[in-house]
Amino acid sequence: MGPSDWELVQQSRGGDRDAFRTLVERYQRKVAALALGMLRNPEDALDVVQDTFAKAYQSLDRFKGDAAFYTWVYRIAVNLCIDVQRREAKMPQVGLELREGEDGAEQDLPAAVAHGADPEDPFRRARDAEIARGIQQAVSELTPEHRAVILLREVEGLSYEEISRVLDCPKGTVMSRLHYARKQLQERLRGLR
Amino acid sequence: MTCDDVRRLLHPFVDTELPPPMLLAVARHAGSCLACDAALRELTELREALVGAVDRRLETLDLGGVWTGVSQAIDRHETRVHRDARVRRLAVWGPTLALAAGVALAVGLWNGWTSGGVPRPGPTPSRVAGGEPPARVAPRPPATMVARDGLRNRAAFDRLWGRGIEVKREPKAGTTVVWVAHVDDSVE
Repeated sequence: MGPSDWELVQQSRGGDRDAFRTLVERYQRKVAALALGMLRNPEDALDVVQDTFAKAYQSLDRFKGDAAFYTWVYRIAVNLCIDVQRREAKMPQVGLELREGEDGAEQDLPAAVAHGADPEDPFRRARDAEIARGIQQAVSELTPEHRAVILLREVEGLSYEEISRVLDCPKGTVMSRLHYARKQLQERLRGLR
Repeated sequence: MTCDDVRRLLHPFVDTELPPPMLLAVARHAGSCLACDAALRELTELREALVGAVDRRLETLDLGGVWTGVSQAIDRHETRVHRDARVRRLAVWGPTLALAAGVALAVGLWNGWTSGGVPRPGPTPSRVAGGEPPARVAPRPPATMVARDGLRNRAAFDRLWGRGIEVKREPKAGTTVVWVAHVDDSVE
């Protein structure tokens, strides 16, 4: 078993880059999953991952250790994703549909289906890809706050308490946002089936 | 537990946010109620679809270069921090050093002025309009100590004595030195 997050944070504060590298490698996949869910463009997501850890390193002195390191990092990541979305919202969305078309059936295929009983069935692949695209589209239509809640819960597996810490909002707000987001996505999912 | 009770608890149930007794109660009800079971399955499918979509996209993302990017960003940040610290130090000490340099310069000028080392401003000869060019003043010889090889005996000393010329013997050099108050060719 390797050193704890807190130990690595302490070493990183002392200028130990290798310790911080361990932290980055421990959580980069989780942060990337969150960023990919929040943002449509993979390049933007990758930038957010890098910026998240760079910012975390610069702010290590402010990390008190009263919460888990990863919830603190998620918080930075969510804020950066929201910043990117705001910037995107001000820019024209040229080429977005083309990108979706390029990624298409292969990328949007849910893993559960891809590794399922009959992944070669072209009808099933096409249908599931359509469902995945539909969900992705529905997620992107949620507000950033609702999107963050549903991704932190469903993809990252955070508890309500942890989500409330990441988003700095009451637990009741987390529950209501989660309920709303799920309802929206379920309606979209029903329409696709 | 009724269907309405269960529907209200479905979300915290799938999120395992309920206390164990309630988790058990909801699970028992869903096991015997097709409608609630379907609602539960719908939530689970939504989760699977979301996780699956994100996972597939994640597989296409190359995370191998993340640390390099982070490390470079940290380097840039530290360079910026050091530069800012230098600028701050300069902002604090710069005015002080400038003031000290100014004072030193002023003191130096004042000392030079009062000791005559620095020429006082005034009209130079060439600026005197219409005037005669200033006469060239022959350089005045300083009070000179002249050694005279010919004055080696007392008679010669006596001859010079009383002519405004002071004669001294410099025993350590073995020579006679004549101190003259002014240049007088007759001495020769």
